[in-house]
Amino acid sequence: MYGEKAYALVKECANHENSLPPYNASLVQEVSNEIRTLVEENQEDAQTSTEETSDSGSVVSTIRLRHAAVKRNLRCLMAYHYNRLRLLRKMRWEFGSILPADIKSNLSPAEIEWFAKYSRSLASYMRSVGDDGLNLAVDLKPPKSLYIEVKCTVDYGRYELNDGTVLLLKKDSRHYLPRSECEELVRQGVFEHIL
Amino acid sequence: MYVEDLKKDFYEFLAGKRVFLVVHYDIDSICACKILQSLLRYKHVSYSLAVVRGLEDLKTAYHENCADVKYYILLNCGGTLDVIEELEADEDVTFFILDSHRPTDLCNIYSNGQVKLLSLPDEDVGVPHFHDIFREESDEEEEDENDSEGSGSEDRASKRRRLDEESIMKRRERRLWEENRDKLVFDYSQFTYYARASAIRLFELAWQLNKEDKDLLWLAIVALTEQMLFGKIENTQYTLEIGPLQAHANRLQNMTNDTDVLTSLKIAFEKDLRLALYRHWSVEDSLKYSMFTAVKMKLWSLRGDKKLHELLADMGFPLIQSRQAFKSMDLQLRKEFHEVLEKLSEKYGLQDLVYASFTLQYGYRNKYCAADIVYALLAILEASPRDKKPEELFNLALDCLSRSKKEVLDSAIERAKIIVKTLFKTAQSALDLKQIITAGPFVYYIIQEGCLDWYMFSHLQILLLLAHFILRAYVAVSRNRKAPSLPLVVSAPKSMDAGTCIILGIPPLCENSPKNFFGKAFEQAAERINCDSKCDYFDTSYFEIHTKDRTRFFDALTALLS
Repeated sequence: MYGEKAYALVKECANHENSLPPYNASLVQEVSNEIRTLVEENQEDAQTSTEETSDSGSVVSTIRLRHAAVKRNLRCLMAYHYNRLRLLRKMRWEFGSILPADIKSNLSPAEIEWFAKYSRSLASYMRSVGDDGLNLAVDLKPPKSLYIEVKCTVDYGRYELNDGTVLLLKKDSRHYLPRSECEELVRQGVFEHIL
Repeated sequence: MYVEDLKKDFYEFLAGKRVFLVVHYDIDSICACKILQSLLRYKHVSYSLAVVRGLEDLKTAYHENCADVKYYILLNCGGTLDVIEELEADEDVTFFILDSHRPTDLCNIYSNGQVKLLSLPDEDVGVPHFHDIFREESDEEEEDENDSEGSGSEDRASKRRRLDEESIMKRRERRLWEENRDKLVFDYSQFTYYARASAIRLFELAWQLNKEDKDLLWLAIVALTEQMLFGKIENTQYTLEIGPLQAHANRLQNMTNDTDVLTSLKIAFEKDLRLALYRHWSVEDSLKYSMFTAVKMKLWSLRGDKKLHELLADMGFPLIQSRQAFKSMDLQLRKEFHEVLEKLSEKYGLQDLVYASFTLQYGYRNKYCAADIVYALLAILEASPRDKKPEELFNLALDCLSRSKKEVLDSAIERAKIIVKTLFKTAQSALDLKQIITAGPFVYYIIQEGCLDWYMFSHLQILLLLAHFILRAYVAVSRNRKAPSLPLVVSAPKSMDAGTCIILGIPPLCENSPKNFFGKAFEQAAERINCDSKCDYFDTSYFEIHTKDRTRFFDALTALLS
């Protein structure tokens, strides 16, 4: 039946709402093939109907049906691709400009290209904000407090803060520090944020 | 030097400075620390936190950080010793000390601003006057100089004679003064005891700052309950402290308009029973293993067992019911439990079974009384697997106090039951094997290495609980009429490798006051036999010596006290 494959494509999107499945190139190809054959059949019928005007009534309804199927397939393809791009854009904000390898392998070449372009324009926009740029990707949600309590998980040794004070980071010691100072160390796994 | 206005001279003073918190490893300190943390958070005071178990830890913590941090807050440590001298502190370092250990060192009290005590001045009893303790050393030298300037050789001889007389007088006066000073210092430092919990003091500060809430109040309550349960303060003091806390609880309860059971937090002032953990245990177990009932009914004997069953029968509790978890008991019985036991307490000699306490309730299922939390914290701090470091356990204890980590609390309560059971069993075996030995002026009990769960007793608070249990049990069974007037010394192995043991002394039952004279006595006994001992603990009623010196040490102690 017409449109069944396109429907499968959309369903795939709906099943993986928050993750990016491998780009289903074969199915996309099949859908576009279906569209092409439908359009070709329509063209043929249109040609013949203009030549023989006698039973044109039946041909018109066939063409209309095929056309509706084509339109529907197109919509499904659009939805599939748009959804993937939406997820990809979200990932740009979450992971930064470099995607993890397992996600990258799921993308189609066109998507990779789009991602690179998007990253580039985002970066150039962030450079233009403020005096010397602003990283918009950090603190997407406003922090509850400027200071956080952290626990040190390794014997790190002495560490100097931005304001020049030095503190000794020992394993299992607790500290209460400005959030901005801790972020780097939390990411490195030296600190653990205590809620 | 005492800080008079905590708000101005302590809290607001610290704003914008880097602070180092040194916290002693006990329950009161943890509660106090949690209150202080939340206060410092309001002011965005960045701090680092270290846990110490004794003087050595305190020294390392200080020396590791003294180059970087200039403001130290010592919670429940350091008050009883001259911190400036012990830590060899630089002049620009300031110590804020809030310590419930007493007596406070005189050098700390009369420090000129480098040491600031956060406790109230009237909590220190009988502090000698400044001029009786310290004296200007330079007076005499100056006079000597003046004398040497005097000219004229003929009256020098007469002058010298007069001088001699004068100096003799002066020396005599000085000697008298010194004797007097030694006596005053001895009188002052003779007893070790505990003042009110640090957490309460800090809660009052929070109140002053309008930053108090129910969680902080609960911490103060837990700290107070700990002091009462471990016999660190007198009952009257407990009753006095509980009044204001009750008022706070009512006030805070009325202030909130959140009445939804699911989300609201409720601290209720209630009568409670001196039974360990009964809400989370079965009635029979709790009755049997709690110190209060066990001692009053002599439950370690066969006859005691019978008496316990008799009590349960009198209460109308079927054995099946009383052996299952309290919360799965019949609702009717559960409701009656308090009343029935209270009614029968007279008959079974269980007077004072009921005491006033607080319960914390949040959600539908979570109801804990303050004593439950104390036992849980004790289990975390002192009965965790031995490979855990104190810092980890401290973190765990902090988690246990925050309401979101219920599973930590529940597993801790399970372990607390084991502690209570072990205490009972150890006391039972001590009585059965007649290991409690009278040594003239005191009785002693030695926990042998390799006996049941001995390693549990190398921790301070559990050892203290055991000592109370054993002394009471001993007094209950002893035929000796003097038994209530005898103090108890308990010794437990500390570390097998180093061959050391802890010695703890507790005052006799008849004194009815937790003031402890053993600190000084231990010191003198150790001096007499010349053993190398170290007193690393902030509470001086604990002492640490080599196990091989123990017999001689006890002999010296006997000689000293008789």
